[in-house]
Amino acid sequence: MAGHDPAGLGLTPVAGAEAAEVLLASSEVPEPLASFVAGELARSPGLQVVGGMVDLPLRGRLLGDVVGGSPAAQGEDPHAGHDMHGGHDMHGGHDMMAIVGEPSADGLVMEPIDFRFGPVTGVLPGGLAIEVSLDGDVVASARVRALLRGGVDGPRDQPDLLTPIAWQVAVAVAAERSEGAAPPARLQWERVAAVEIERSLSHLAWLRSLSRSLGWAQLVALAQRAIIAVAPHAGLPAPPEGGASLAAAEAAVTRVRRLVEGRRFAARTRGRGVNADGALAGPNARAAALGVDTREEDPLYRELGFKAVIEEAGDARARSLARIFEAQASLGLARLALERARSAAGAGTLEAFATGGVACVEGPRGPLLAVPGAPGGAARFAAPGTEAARTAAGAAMVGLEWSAALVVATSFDLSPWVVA
Amino acid sequence: MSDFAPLAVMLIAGFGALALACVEQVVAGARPSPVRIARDAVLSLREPIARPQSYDGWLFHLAPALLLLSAIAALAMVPWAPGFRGIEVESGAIVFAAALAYVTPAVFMAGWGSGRPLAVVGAFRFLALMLGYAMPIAMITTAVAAPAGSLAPAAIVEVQHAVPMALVQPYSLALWLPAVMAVALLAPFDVATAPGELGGAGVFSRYTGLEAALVALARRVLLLAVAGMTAALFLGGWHGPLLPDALWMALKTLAVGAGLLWAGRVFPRVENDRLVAFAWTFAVPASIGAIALAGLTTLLFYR
Repeated sequence: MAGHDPAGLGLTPVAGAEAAEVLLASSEVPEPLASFVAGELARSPGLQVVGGMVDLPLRGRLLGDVVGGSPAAQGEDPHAGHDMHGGHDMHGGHDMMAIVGEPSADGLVMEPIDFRFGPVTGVLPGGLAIEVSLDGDVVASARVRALLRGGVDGPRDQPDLLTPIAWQVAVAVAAERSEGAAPPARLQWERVAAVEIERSLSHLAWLRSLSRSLGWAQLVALAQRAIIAVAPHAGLPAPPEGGASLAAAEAAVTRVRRLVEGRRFAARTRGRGVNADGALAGPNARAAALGVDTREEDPLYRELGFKAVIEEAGDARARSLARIFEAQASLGLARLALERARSAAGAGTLEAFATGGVACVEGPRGPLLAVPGAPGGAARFAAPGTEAARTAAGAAMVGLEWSAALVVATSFDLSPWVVA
Repeated sequence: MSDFAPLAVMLIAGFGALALACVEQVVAGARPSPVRIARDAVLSLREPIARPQSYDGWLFHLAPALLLLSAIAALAMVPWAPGFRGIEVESGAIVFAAALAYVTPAVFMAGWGSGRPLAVVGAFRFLALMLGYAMPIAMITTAVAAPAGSLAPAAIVEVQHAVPMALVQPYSLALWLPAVMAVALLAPFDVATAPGELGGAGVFSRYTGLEAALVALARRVLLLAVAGMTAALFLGGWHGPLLPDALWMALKTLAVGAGLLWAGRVFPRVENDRLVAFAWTFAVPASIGAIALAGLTTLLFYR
């Protein structure tokens, strides 16, 4: 829907598939997700499908398997990757007299409940799964797995489809560095604007997911409205009207920010999932006053008066505040960058996006690194901190009640893509 | 009790559920559309009934019917007008609480019977929650009944002809609302259904077709019942100027229903452990205190 106003098309986005009448499907659905999408289609016979998935025979192929409701389609897959027939026999009924296992923290012997949450849920990005073992309602162990691999499950030049523009810019800069070509200043400013708008959209989409895990319909609706306000400005090159009405989008984000700063949000997130792992990157690190924002070293960003958002608590609330502040600041940066693009002002150079020997763009989840490939060869990519975030999220969930644990995991804004 | 009272209760359940579904659309920021609600119901009814691989058939398939029965039984105790007081029982207010108590086994059967790990978690959450909140519901009912000297809901309405009980016992209303919202599976106390967190509709996520429609109807009838009884016990029921008695009661019920739904949108879901801790450390003792205060108020002002 990027670049289009759903309301202008007569569409009203809804919170989940169960409330939808029309599913707009991308022409490219990574294979690990395709069967789950098909499951959703089979569960919702009234759902009309528009897009590339229409031509796929998945619906007919899987219809017989999932009629009656698939737990996998509801975000919970007890069969994949776990032996549900051993520790917790969901198929043979529940035998309350056969509870075995180690005593839990409160001294009670509980039968563990093992399941996989994902890879399609309403609160985590598609392709991300959490393998969980519950002791009662408390997480005894959790492991977050990313199931999608860049260049394998998606386009070969896109290591992470959640942030296509930032990667596109990184790849372009890497290629330009390799060739020694200098892009015009206008293009560089447009790249800044596009990356910042994508950052804002990414943070808002993450917040919408977090709001769903919080069960907070008001925040879901406000985040959705902000996304709709920002989305028409996304794209590279920038849409012709880009920047003209960004002020309205900024106002929408401000309304979201007020709720995130409030006490209701703090009641569910303050002090939860405190993490100060030095391997983290991006907003996760900056929420604990760790790490740097590579934009601070960029002359273009310095010209825009950029200042990194730093929080200190390192908990779920700090991560949320860091992202919502960034989402708002990014729109301001994008507006200024588009103004400069129109006047082609500024002395942009390739160094604007480059540090050291690699092209580096600060993406929504941290720095994205692209190394130019050999002539005719593919570029190489790296996204430092993403694997550390998945590991940290799994560790932070342990010991928390399931609902709190899910909020903590979501607060790390995890990517389902393995970038290698 | 008229011979037609059961039929009237059924009609109130049907039309009231439809009206509250429209209110729900308005609260969610959409235009009220009974046509869309009817179409969704038809679509749901056209789906086949689920027979999941791993489930306990008896519990799973009986749960929606038990949920609807308990909701209708609770609704039958709500007095709508002086001429129509539902199914009149002298201890109707306590029967209302007793009917709500059957929501707990229904929800537990749905979650346990479905065989999904997270649905089982939702079932146990609800069980723990209702162990804590069943007592406050019964005790607050007793507290508001004290001034009337009767457990008949119509008598409790009559005693509020001058001052609504919400003004006399505001603390009782403050304890009553979270308890009935929890039992009606309403956000932010919807720990058993918890969309997103428990996948789909939590304990009800495996229901399809007629059973899903029954669950949806039962949940709205539950909302209608708790909203109606809240209006009767705390807001003076049918008392009001100018308008017909039944219209006053209907308006108050819809207003309470809208308020409960609105609260579910503007507050994030409350975690189960906090809800249970609140019940045992505050709500239960405070409910006992509410009975004592109600007795004092009755002696001072109603005798």
